[in-house]
Amino acid sequence: MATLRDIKKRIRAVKNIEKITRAMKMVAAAKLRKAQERMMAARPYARHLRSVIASVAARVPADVHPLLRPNPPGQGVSALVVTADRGLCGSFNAAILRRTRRFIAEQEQDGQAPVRFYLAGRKAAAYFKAHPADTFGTTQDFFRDLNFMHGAKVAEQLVTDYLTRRPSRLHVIYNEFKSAVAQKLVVESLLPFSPESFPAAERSDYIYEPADPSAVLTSLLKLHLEVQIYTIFLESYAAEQAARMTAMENAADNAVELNADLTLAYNRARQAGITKEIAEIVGGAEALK
Amino acid sequence: MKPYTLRIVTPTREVFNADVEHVRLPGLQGYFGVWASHAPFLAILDVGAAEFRAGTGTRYLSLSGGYAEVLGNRVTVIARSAEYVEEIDAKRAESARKRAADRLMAHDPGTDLARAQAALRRSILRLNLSRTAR
Repeated sequence: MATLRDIKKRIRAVKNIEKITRAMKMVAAAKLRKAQERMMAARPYARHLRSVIASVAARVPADVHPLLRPNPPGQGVSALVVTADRGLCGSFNAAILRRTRRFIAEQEQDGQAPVRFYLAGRKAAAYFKAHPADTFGTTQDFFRDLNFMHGAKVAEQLVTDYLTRRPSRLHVIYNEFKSAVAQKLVVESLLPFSPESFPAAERSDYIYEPADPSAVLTSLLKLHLEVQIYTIFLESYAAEQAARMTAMENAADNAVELNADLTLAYNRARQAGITKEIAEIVGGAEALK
Repeated sequence: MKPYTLRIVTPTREVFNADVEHVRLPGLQGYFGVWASHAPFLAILDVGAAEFRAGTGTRYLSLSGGYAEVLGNRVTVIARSAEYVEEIDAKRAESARKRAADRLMAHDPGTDLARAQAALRRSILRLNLSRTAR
């Protein structure tokens, strides 16, 4: 049986856990707000870029562009897997990794092996160290100061892979930010771009500089992928903070509950001790008679 | 001159969105200027300085690549990054310049030359702009 001192020690520990998890929740909330602001800030940029691409793509035969056309089958597929750099955010990372395992099985069934991965986030890198898979790139510890250039760097490597190794598609597996209480696990195709992702635009006869529209289109499409990767990272980061908020709130609530149970146990034990002592004293007094 | 709308967006913010009379931008094949009623035009932008004139004064920015679309009475600049001269941190630019120069001088086969060169050009542009502003 736990002694009084043991219980007291646990109560103190649980109280600390409550304090820490509440603090972590606050931190996550502040970070979430910042991440959301950045998502908002990136939107006009993405919108303008899409509309420019649309008006260029309307003038270039779309199916000739390598980023608008799937590679022939046979070389498998590539996938970008986005987890967080840190844990303590509920099932956020586990869900991604579970889905990734299923993704491999699905693709293999479709005859799309081999599946090769680009890993983003320390948790993904750690997981695939323990469960070796075919990877062609890793990036980690970047979410804390996520900037556009980082997204651009990753996008460049993804484009290179798509154009040289020629997987039939590039997929992405990540957590999308739905709201402060909900994340959505998303598996979608990044490359080739579907022409429908660019809203139909007014056809205008531009003067191009450099004069070749398809060169301009290539560079635009690359930038578009950079923006998409950056946005995905922002989404994932926001979702991570939201998941951490929920997880930490639950942890703090559980700590309160556990504390109540422990306090009850402590008082019972204390009372039992007192009763026992009295009984002993009474017993001793009886014996002296 | 007749004013038209200039809009400059970057992934982190909308830098400018208002009427101007003239804008000068760093095209990949040289600087160009846009007045009102320009023909539809789409240019890839290089790392360089941009300036626009609106009513009372001229403002200068450093741009690091992107696109400019001239359509109707509107110019949209989609830049990877853009900052006004007043916002440039000369100390940071100087240390970035040093870092990039060191990387180029090291002759390490592992360095990405194109990236280091681009970084060097960006930092030199920022330094020059912040000097002229003072």
